[in-house]
Amino acid sequence: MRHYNIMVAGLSILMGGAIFWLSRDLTGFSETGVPGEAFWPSMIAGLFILLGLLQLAEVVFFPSVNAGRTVDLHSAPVRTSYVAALVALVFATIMTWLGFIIGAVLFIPAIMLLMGERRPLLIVGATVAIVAVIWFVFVNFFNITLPVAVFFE
Amino acid sequence: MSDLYQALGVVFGYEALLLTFLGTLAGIIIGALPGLTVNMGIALLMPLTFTFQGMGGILMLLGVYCGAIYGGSISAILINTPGTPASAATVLDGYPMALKGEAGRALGLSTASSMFGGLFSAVALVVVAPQLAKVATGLSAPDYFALGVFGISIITSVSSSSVIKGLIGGCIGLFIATIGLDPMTAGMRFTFGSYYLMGGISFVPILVGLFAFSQALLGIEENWIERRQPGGARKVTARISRLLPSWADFRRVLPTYLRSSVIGTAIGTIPGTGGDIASFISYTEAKRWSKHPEEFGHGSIEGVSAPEAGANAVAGGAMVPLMTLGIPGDGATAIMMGAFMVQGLSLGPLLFTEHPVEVNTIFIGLFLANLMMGILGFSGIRIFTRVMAVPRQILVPIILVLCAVGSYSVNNTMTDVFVMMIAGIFGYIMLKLDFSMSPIIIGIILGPMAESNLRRALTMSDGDFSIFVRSPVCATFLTIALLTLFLPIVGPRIKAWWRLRGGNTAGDPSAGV
Repeated sequence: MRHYNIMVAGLSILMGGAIFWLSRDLTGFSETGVPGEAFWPSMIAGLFILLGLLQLAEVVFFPSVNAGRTVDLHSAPVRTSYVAALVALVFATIMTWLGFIIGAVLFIPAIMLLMGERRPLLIVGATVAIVAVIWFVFVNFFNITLPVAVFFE
Repeated sequence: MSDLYQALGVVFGYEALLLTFLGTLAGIIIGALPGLTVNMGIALLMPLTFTFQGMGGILMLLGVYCGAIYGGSISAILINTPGTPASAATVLDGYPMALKGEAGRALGLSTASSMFGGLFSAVALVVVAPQLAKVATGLSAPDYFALGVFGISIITSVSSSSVIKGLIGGCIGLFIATIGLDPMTAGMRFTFGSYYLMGGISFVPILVGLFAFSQALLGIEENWIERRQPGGARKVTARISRLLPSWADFRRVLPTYLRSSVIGTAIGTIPGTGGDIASFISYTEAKRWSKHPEEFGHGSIEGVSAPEAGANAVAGGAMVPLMTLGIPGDGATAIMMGAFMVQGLSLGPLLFTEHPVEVNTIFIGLFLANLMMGILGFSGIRIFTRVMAVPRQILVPIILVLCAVGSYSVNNTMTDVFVMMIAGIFGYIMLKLDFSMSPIIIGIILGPMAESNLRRALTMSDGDFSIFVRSPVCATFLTIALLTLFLPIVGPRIKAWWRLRGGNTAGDPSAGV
């Protein structure tokens, strides 16, 4: 936990610095002392830096606060979630070009397989049912247009 | 009076009735499924609400809110796993009752107490909110800024274990809200020449990503662990018999209903608290006042009723600061506030003068949602127990697809889907690092309000910061905000120091001389 907390502190300070840097061309205060576009972001940037320093101080001076706590970012179950997130991003890309139906028909079985489901009938049945129900409810009931394949546009 | 009739017409229109019913049903199912939270339910269904004209979408969300709080008790009683944090106290006596073969009795009592608590808090909302709104109508820009800061300060209470990380999360939300056009000068901020960013980062995809997509990723992780455990996931084995509470049971628990409803409503009105706190305090008080305290923990009917009445009474209580001052009390109400804003309803004291029909619609809608929750609870409990058996391998893909479709449907753009997924992946990693998601949403929602009123106030005073201490309302709220911010940090240290000092004094032989 300790080095992750140091990383969080560093990122917070970095974020504050980045906001200050990105706000450099915006107006801080007008000539009459009225705050401009950079005023609020600068306050947030200051807070990011202050909180980063406080987080760092907590790690250094009060190690007992996080004693015994662990962070799991690399174990097998967490890695499975990362793979699922990657599959979801691929699904979004497929959906952009090939539409919702083709994207979902590929995505749902992929996630089910990733989660350890091996019964082909259940996978196919669930995929067809989920896609059909979502398509019917969204398109017919809520009048929402779902993405279609570029060939059908 | 005509406002009330108009509101009745809205709520009892066939579309609104159907949407409230569907929202409540979805809420109960979401609450009953362990791993799905109230926030996730509201976030998942929120994009759908934009497709409805008028108040239909808001009524649906009210149904989800009420239904999900109650739904958590079903899994708490039947499988010893609270569906929502607010049902954690229900497990203590609900599950022992189920083990004794009294699952139906426990579910009946929890349904009745949830409905009672919800209706009680709706009455409290109708009585208290308009009076508070009248007092708050004369607020000026510095006061609104102070209210915004007070709202943001509750981040310390809704943060998980680290207050500092909660505040960093709040800053992330505040920063996200600054992207796009400046609210005062309409100048570009942090847009990098992107047309998408000019309108600001859309709030809904971020919300869906943080509350639903990240939870689905957690679900995949939990599924991996469950599959490798000897018993796997818990299954419902209890038989459900009689559901309606007997007259004897009802008479015995009625004082508990009343006491817990008062506690829940009062706690709900305090920003930063929530159903979990209300349910545990209600449980403790029920035990203290009970004629049979020895039954608690072994299947006490008061022990099931108290937490449920308390938790459900929070719903109406939390709507008081939300509607009258525009301050969300927790993550769920923060998401609701976002939905109100997208529907063009700006919450705060002016809501009562500018949108009286909508206010009455919310009041009546809350009553209706609680009644529907009770009716659905008594009539459909056997169906809900079957829904609980749906395996995670089917549930997670459904959630992930709904996240994508919901995000897409808001602006019909795939960019929102990618924004949602990136927010969800960040949310997942942040959850692993002990961050909470609610502070980010509170920051996004209250940031623009705080900024525009701060700058308006400073424009009024020509940059003189003393304007914030000249108004008593402003000064009071800023003081409360400071206390809210620093008490969770300083409080435990003062307590520890006091205990240490007390211990030293007790150990000192000269102390008593």
